[in-house]
Amino acid sequence: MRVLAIVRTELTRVFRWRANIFFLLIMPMGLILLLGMAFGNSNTRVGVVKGESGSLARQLVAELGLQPGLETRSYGNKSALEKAVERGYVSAGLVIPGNYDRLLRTGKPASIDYFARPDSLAPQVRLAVEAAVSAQGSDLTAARIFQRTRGGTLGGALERVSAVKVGSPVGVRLLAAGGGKYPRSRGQFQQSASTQLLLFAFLSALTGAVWLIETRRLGVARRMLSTPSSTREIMLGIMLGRWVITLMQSLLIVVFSWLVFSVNWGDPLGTGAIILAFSLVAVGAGLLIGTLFASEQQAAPVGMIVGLTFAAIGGSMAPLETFPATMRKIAHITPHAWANDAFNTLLVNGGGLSSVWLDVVVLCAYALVLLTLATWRLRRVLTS
Amino acid sequence: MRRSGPMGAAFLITAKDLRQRLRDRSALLVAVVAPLALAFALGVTISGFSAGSRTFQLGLVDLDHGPAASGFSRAAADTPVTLQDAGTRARARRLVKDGKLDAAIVLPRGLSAATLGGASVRIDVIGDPKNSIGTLVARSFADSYASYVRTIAVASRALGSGSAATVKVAGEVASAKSPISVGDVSTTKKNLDPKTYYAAAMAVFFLFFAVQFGISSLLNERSDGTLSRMLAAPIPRRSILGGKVMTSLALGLTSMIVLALTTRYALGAHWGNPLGAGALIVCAVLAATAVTALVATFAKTAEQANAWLSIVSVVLGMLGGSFFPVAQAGGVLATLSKLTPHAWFLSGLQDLSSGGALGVIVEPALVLLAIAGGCGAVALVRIRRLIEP
Amino acid sequence: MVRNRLLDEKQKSPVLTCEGLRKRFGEIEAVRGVSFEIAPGESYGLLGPNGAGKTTTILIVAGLLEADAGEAIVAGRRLTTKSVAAKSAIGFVPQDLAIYLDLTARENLTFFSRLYGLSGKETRRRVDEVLEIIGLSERAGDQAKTYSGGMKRRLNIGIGLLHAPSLLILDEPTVGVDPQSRNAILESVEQLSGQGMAVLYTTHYMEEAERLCDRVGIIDRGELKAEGTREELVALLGEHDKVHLAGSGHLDAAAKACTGIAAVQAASVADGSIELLVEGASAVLPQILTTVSAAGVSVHSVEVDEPNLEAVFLHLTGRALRD
Repeated sequence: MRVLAIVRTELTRVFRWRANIFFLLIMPMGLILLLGMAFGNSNTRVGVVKGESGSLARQLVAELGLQPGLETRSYGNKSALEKAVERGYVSAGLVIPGNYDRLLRTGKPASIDYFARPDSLAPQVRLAVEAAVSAQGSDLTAARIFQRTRGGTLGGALERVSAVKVGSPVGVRLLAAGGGKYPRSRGQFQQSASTQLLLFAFLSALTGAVWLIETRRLGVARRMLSTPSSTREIMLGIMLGRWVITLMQSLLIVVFSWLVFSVNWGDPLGTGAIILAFSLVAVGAGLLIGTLFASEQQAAPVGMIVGLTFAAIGGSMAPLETFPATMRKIAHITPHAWANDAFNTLLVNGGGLSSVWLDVVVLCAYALVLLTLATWRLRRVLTS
Repeated sequence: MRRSGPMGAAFLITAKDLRQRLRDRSALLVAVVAPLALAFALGVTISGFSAGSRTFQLGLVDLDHGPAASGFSRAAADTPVTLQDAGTRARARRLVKDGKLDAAIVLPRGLSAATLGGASVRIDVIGDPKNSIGTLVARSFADSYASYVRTIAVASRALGSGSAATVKVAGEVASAKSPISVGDVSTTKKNLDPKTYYAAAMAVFFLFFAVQFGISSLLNERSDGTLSRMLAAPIPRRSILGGKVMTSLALGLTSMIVLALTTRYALGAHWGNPLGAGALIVCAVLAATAVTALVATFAKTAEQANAWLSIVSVVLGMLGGSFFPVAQAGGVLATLSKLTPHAWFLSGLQDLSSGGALGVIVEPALVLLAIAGGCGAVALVRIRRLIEP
Repeated sequence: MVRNRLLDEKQKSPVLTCEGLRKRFGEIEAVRGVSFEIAPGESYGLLGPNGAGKTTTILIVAGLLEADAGEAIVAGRRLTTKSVAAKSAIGFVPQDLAIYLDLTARENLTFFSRLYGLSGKETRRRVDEVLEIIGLSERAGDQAKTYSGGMKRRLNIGIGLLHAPSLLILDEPTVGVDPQSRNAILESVEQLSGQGMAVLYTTHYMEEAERLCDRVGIIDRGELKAEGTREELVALLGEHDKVHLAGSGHLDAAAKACTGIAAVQAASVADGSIELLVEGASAVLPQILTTVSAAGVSVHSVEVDEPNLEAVFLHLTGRALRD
């Protein structure tokens, strides 16, 4: 079939150029590797400055270290801690004032400065810090009441209170609105794997724009038009070729991240549908850009800009749920947002194809529109 | 006939190059539009992280019908949380699922009794996993209530009192102010501001693409034949090289300065002391030009050079922290990161933007200059073979 | 008077002197001891097949390649790749188009003019002049990529003329060019040469060398085999004109009768025509015709083949000029 011939030629051409192998295959794996190493370890690090450590301060730090998924790191002074947070060595920093113990033991309130990196872990870290603080605060309040009632020193009251081994009579349980237990936090890396997949698929498909321009420039496309193949057949061939490449890349990312970092990709049918549909959108976008520009030098940066910007707006760099409400609505201009939503449903709620069919349909609609536009443009450009 | 001096010739070449670049707009796209677009996109989306900027709608299902509910309402006052009555558990669930509530808290029967020493109960927090922040906020409410109850229990146990005394204890605990307060000062720290970080990160990432045009145009002119014309002209060879280098410098400086000014005034990014930022920018541009020149000398055609340069720029950018903080990865990666100009530029800028004095840029500036010098020297030696007909 | 004589002396000294130029690329020695001179205002052609070393020699003379041995002197100055002063006297028109396609003709010319050291005012004046000469004044403001092939070629040559060089070097300027543009190029070169510019012209087309050049150097495999005016070169052969007379009648008798003419070296009959080998056919042609008619042959057509440079080349190298 003619279309297959076009597909085969395109695949050969793409992979003959070694730089493409880097961009399409090695770079995404490298980035996943990097991300995995950066965010894969399950413990979040919190830096602490204790000052002259009194026992209460030490206790607080110990309590913090007991929080699940948290580990503490000591710093000598505030500026060192600030720098560490700034650079990312720790996710958040806590500065316990030097007179912490003195203040609390004399019944005065103490205040701790807290600052965190603005990333998706911030709310969880904050929660953990508050939990540790409230545990100590609870003891202190109880001690003060004891002291007020029975007299004596606060220190003695604290001792008495600490000796009481009782948990809270009130427990807290998390439930999911859709039913069942609330899933454990996915961890930053798991989350990023699916979003990064979308980023790369889109970006690399946009490089299809550059290929198409080359083809046009070399007049090959015109030559193809002069054969019995119709424009639609030509576009089909080109599109299939690009689609195959994008799918190969996605498959590689999925398998690689699953093998090396145990990333869970959820229901295979659902994930497959999302990837197939999203890749098609990406291919369409790339081909459309290819028909809009005359030189590779212009198309390549445009492709990069569109690819990266859409990824950012669509929730592939920072997760959608952290977006302010209006931004979240705006995000759905991009196909990424729909795909990210779908992945979320699959991976967080554990749904299957049936729960994401709407998102998949929307993506297919995107693809249809883009491909139609691209075909129309190509015909106009080639026959003008 | 006057001969144009070596500097004059170099400037002529740079002017011609810039005219060509402006005409095909590719330089404009790469040097200005791309980083601006991304800096804005990233800055605007990522700034949503601070929970303080959002308000939360939490539903309350009061199965207890006791004073506990009013305790919750009081606690919600002065916070970005609005508590509303959600009726039944089923209704609350539906509202959360439909996204009309961020989360819901179910106060079980016997909660108020448990508060005063009765049997243990459990508060259910109903959340949507897609809205984890809302869920966490609800959870922290529930947790603090649980803590409050624990305090009562501990105090009562310590006092060994009966139930009447427990009520009094409860009252005291309720009215007690928390002895320890946690003050979130994240937003006051300019160096943690994501807008600044991504403005700088995108600027330095795309810098390496902007300066490519200078040196790869040398290869282009060679294959186009116009390099021979320049060689035949009465100008020294170093003028040709000088002109191309100046093209890179001009493009790089323009790119970063436009970016710095635009993100500062339109996005609110903090670049710190202008002198310091300017010095860092100059050093970064020098380093970028030297690195790209060195890479280009290993290529045989302009196409090859562009491909390798793109690869190197992306790798250095990723390692250098342009997309996410590599330092978090620790170990080898953090060390590798220190080999990239990106990392040094970003760290110098972060120190500057947090209000540091000019002196903080000395170390990163020196490192950047060292990279520029080292790569530049090797490139100079290798580049001779490029300036041939 | 002394001054005039000095000027005279200068004018008499050659614009270009090449002495023993050698250049090796790895195993291959592309140029092996080439020496020649070009007088001011003279047009000199380097004629040879592809791979003869023409382009390499040109690159050396234009200051783009460093010779391994030998020297080139242009307008009294020694020429190397680094000699900035000497290059001012040379205009270079490379074989492949060397123009900036995304700049207009005016911008192309302005850039190179400034590069050659002309001031802003001089540049403007000169650019207008050259645009007129190459006939691109109308389209001067359009980007070169919109030009036809011929127009691009003309711009290519125009750039070489900007600084009114003493020596204009053209490297095979008509290869792959349509006949119309080719003619235009040849005409412009003739004109320039007529205006007193020395021209060094390389080609493998014999007709061009014969038409344009005062003197021709025949180069093959890196060596200059012979040089001189066309007549001088042809005379090397001592070859004879061939005269073909197609006719009917007593051809044999006529042929025999022709051998009686002193200038006729040989005569033969083939296929209804008489072939004569004659020295200086143009002079004795009338005599031949009379003799042939007198012998009873009615002549239908006369063809005279003069030996040409191709024949010279063949004689000198044993190979054809055109591949």
